[in-house]
Formats: sequence, C-alpha cells, structure tokens
Amino acid sequence: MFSTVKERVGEVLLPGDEFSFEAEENISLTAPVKSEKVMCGPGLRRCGDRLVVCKSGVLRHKEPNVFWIDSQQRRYVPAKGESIIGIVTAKSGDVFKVDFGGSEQASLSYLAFEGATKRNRPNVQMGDLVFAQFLIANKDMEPELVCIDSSGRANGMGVFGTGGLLFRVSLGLVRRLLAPQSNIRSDLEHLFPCELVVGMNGRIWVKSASVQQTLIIANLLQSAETMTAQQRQQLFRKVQQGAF
Amino acid sequence: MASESVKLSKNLLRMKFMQRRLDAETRKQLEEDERRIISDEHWYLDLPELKAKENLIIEERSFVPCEDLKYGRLSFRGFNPEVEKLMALMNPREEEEEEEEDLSPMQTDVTDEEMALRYESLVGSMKKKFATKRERVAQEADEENQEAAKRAFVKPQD
Repeated sequence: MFSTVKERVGEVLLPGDEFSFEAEENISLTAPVKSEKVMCGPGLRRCGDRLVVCKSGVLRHKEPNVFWIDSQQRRYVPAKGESIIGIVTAKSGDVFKVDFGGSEQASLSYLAFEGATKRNRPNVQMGDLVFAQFLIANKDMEPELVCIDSSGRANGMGVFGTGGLLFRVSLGLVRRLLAPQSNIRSDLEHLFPCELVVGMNGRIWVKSASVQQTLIIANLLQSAETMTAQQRQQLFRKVQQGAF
Repeated sequence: MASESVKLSKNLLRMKFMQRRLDAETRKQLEEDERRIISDEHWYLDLPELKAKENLIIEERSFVPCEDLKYGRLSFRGFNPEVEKLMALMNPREEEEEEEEDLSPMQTDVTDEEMALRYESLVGSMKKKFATKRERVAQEADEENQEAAKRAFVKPQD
C-alpha cells in the first residue's frame, strides 16, 4: 500500500479516493517482510484497513512515511499541539473563555500560566490576546488551551504585547509563512523592523515602529495570498523604495 | 525479660516505626502475603487472550509535524530582542547553524569597532583616576606642550 500511495504523490485527490492493502505482486523470498507504518496527516483518514481521502487537494509526502493532503481553507479546526492566537472573552471562576475562531470557545485555566498558583493569579483581562497551544482538541470535547509546555515553562506563550494590529488570513498563508524555507518571511525580513505573532488559526498580529508601517505590513500579508511570487516581490520592492 | 522474643502482631509489624528495623526478608514476606490477599479478591474474566491487531496507519491531525512548521512568534531586525532569543531557542536545532553564519549587526547591539574605541578612552581615564598627584602634574604639563603646538593660527582656505 505504501507504494500505491507513493505513486500518487503530487496528484490532485478528491474525497472518497481510497488506498487499500493489496497483496504485493512480487513477494521477495529473501528480504524480511516488514510491516511499514504509514502516518497519515490532515486530509487523510483511516477507515478499518483502508486509507480514505476526506479533503480535496494535492497529496504531499515527507520522508520516511508521512502523507497528507495540502488543501486551502479559512475555517480553523483545532488540533492538539498547535499554537494559536485567542481573544479572552470571559472570566468564569477559575477558567478563562477564549475565542479562537472555531465552533466553540476554548477554556484556559488560570493555573496554566508560568508561575501561577492559587494565590498568584496571572494578569489577564477580558479582550487580551493570548498565544496558547491546545491541550485537548477533539470533536467530542470542549477544546482546552494552555500557556505552558509540559515542563512548566512559558516559552513565549501567554498574553502578548500592547499595540499592534490583529487581522485574519487564510490557513494556507499561515503555513506558507511558517514553512522552513519561506520566501515571504525572507522578503519581510528585508523590509522594516517589526514583530509578528502568527497563530495557526489564521490570525496574525503585527507590530512595527509606526502605525503606517504596521498597516503596510498587514496589507502586504493580506494581498500576498493571491499573488504569485514575482508579483509579490515586485510589490515588496516598490514598498521598500517608496520609503514611507 | 521474656525468655523468647515476644510474638508481635501483623498490624504492629506493618507500622512505620517497625518497618525501619525489619530486615529485607521479613519485609518481602509481608509484602507477598498482602499481595496474595489482594489478588485473590480481584475479579477477572476467564477468556482467551485477545491479540491486538497491529495498526499500520497512524493518524495525525496537525500540520505542524508534517510540514516542519517553525515557531509562531517572529521578530525581524531586532525589533523585539526577547522574541529573537525565543526564535533561536524554539526553532529546530539544525537551522541554528545556518543562522549563526549570517549574523548581521543588530541595531541594539554594540559592534566590535565601537567596543574597541570605547576601551581606548576607558583605559586612559582609568589610569588618570588612580594616578598620584606627581603623575597627574606631569601629565598635565605634557598635554599643555602638545596643545601649544596646535595653537598657531591656520589660515582658512576659501
């Protein structure tokens, strides 16, 4: 099955396409038979013994055995371990309710901050922006966020800076920004000194030296979604020379 | 003074202060007895052992491990030095070697030349601070001689 899946890497697949276990045509008698594990990422699902596609997109592959579907969407579905930007909407008892753009609000316990104890509460107000990661995120339970990692360190999570601008983009742009080799990120680096917080739920927060520069960066990122690399580089160069 | 050692009850032996004096053997014996009693009381199903089928497909819901996405907080050109430190910490280690090669001087850091210039003047001023009165007088005389040479009038060119 591994080989059948690997053949179709780079093709456009539609929901309903399946990959099932078939007896290998040539079973080699000398090599040991080892079962190959296949890790299926977002867009692929396990249905009994078969691998079923549930989103339309392009099949991607990463060594050694990771496959996933690269698709485009704006609505975020929470997944465990992803870091997002949330807005605190309510404080009820020991728990904050955080809106991250999903179908329901997530809960964030006040003890899930670095150095927080029952006496020492974190300084979080309604309307604050928090950078947190999901502890529990499945379709059967209310999602839960935390601002510390497994060893209790904050690692940059928690309430972050004042000022700046928060705006929404599609999930594909977020992934492009955070990819290991990212052209958009290297273009941005040569532009202005600025600070960005990128949430996997499609929210980006920008802060720069002046309000104008912040607005420029926000507009650039929003328009970079629909531009080819060449157009984008032209635009960035124009902005750099425009010397706002 | 009993002729033989007094027989102590099991409950007494189980108390903490008695455990410290017990040797390993008696302790093991006690533990085994307890475990036997407990396991007799446990209920179990009298079914043949079911072998779990080995799953060859592992599901992964997040994009982060698939595409090796980097850390979400970014800072460019030294806008927020703490975030830059976090970026170096949190991003995968292999990237760090590449990053160290193109270390451009950041706006907030002091460059090497500035440091060298500063040290030049610093050494002189520290020396003056700890000089005795005789040395100070000698130094001032030297400086005056140097200044006197420059005091001659220089005609402007235009």
